[in-house]
Amino acid sequence: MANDSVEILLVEDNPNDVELTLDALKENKLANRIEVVRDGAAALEFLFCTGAYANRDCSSQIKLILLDLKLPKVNGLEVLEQIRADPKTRTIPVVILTSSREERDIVQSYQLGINSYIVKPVDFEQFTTAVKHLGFYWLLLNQQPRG
Amino acid sequence: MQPSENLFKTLVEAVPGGIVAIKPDGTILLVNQQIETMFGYTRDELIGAPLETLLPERFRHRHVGMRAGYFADPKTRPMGIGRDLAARRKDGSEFPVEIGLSYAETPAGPVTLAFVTDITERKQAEAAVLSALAGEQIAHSQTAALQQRIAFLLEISSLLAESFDYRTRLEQFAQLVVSQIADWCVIHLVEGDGTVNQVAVAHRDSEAAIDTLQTSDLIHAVLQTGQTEFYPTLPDNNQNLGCSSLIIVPLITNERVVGALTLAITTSKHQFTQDDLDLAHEIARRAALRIENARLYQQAQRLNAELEQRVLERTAQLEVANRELEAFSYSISHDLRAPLRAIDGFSRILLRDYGAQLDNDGQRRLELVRSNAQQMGQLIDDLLAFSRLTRQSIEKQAVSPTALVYRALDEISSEHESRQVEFTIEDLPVCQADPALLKQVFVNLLTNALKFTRQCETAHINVGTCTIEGQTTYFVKDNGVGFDMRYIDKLFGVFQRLHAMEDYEGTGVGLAIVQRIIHRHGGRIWAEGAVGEGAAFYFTLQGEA
Repeated sequence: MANDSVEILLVEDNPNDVELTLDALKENKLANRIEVVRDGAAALEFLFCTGAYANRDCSSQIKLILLDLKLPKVNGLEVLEQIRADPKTRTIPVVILTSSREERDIVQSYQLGINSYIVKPVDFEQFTTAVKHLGFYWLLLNQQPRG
Repeated sequence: MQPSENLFKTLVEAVPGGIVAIKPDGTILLVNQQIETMFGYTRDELIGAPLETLLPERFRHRHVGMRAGYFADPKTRPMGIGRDLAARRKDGSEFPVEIGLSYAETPAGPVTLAFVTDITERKQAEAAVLSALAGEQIAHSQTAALQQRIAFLLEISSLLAESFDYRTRLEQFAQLVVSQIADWCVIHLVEGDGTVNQVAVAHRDSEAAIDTLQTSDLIHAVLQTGQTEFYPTLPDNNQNLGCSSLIIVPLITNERVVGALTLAITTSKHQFTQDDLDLAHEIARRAALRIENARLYQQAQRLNAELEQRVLERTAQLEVANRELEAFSYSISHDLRAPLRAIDGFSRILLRDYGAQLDNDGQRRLELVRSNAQQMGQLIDDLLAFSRLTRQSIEKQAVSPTALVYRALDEISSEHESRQVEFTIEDLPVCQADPALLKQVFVNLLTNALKFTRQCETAHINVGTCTIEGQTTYFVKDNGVGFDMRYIDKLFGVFQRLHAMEDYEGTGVGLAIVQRIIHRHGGRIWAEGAVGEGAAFYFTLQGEA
């Protein structure tokens, strides 16, 4: 695994949430190789090495996608759909990190094959704990198939 | 000869009937006393007179010939049928007689003896019998006619009962009427807007033209007055009306004239009788009822359709409102919580990274910023949970409330595991409820019970069941701080709190949620309590198993 390869893709449009998430990851020493994109279209370009990310090395697979649902241009569920439709990205763990507790969102997300659904708590303490757990689990414990 | 002549005379006079002896020339030889009485002649007036004196004049001529024939071939003829003749008294009146004839050769020459019986009484008795028989015959035919009328009425009734397409029925009705009692049958109806329409017409001869009837003025009069017009006899196929016998009966329901039934005779010699009029009234009454029923039915159908339309519109409006509410909740869920998260998050980072540069008061106030942000987050979450309850469908199934109570206690274990709490949980009967929602009821009620027993050295919380007014009633009781019954109205209101925020945290939504869940199950909830003496919450669920 090359040192410069990205391990986490954070798809989040709210700058506050980006900063807080990065802070939480940093606090848990997980923020080394993280790429932040601010909308669904950019997320797809990154994942499929097109557009702004045409020069990215697509052979290096990322380990985790943190995906918000409410996103500009292409929303989270659509991004998820395309990730699951393509064999190259199908096996990447996707954790939904969202404000929505709506049952509808949760059900649809699971139907599209997400790995976890985390409701961003208002309490930052809880948020940090959640980020710590999921980072620890998906990046360190979880065994993925070799690309 | 003297004694025998006397004997003969005595015998002749003793015979109960009349005897007339006739000589061959047709003159009367002798008569007895009975003949004198019967005919009103004296013996002297008759003896020597022609026999025909005793007959009505119209028979006399023919009788002379018959009498001569008899003398030519005399036979004794018994009295009997066929010999009934008319006789004539002296005063000219006639009476029926029966005649027996016999012939005898006497010293005075051949004599014909006629035995005459007055059969007036017998004839009268016979006539009485005949007239009785005739009466019976009439009664019989009247019965038959009555039966026919009843059958006709039944047919009319069953025809009218057939379906709610009453205009077709009225056509058939008219045809049936024509087949039974009239040449013409016409039905007019007054429509809802007051116009009059001819809705059915039938004639015995299908080729006949309705124009021959000129009855529209009379029909309108009947529709106006509600009075029957009855003309049993109109001379010579009355030119003005175009018929010889006419009945126009109003169709009346609820004291309102809804139409008219016209029956007319144009072709046959027959005329309408009082019986026909009665029958016409009877069938008109039935037709009117039928029309009224049909109109009520149509009205009911129209109202139904309108109601259905209105329900559809309302439902559509409600669906729109519901979608708006959903979008609103969704947006609250997403957008309102994000800034709170930022407020809390950055306050926390500030405390973590720059806490050393703040004095205690500064740190405390930053903590206040955080706790307020968290409180608001909780309010939003509770409010969303509450509004979701309205939209969420309830899925009732058989559930064990006891199991739900234990699961609820598991869920809130952090609130009681470090405390001294004695739970008494009775075996609760299985009921029909939405398990997730009923568990939420217990979570909220038990959270409350735990919260308000916090000051107790040992908290006692009792979950059980009792029967109130025949209904299974569940309760959750505690020995906590209780509440003042004066504020019972506010207990289940959204964001209503009966205690100071510093003493007991919470958003005031918990009991509102409990109440809504119970109401959506069709049950009811109430509470009892007193300050310092604990609280008890009771609820029922409809449709228990």
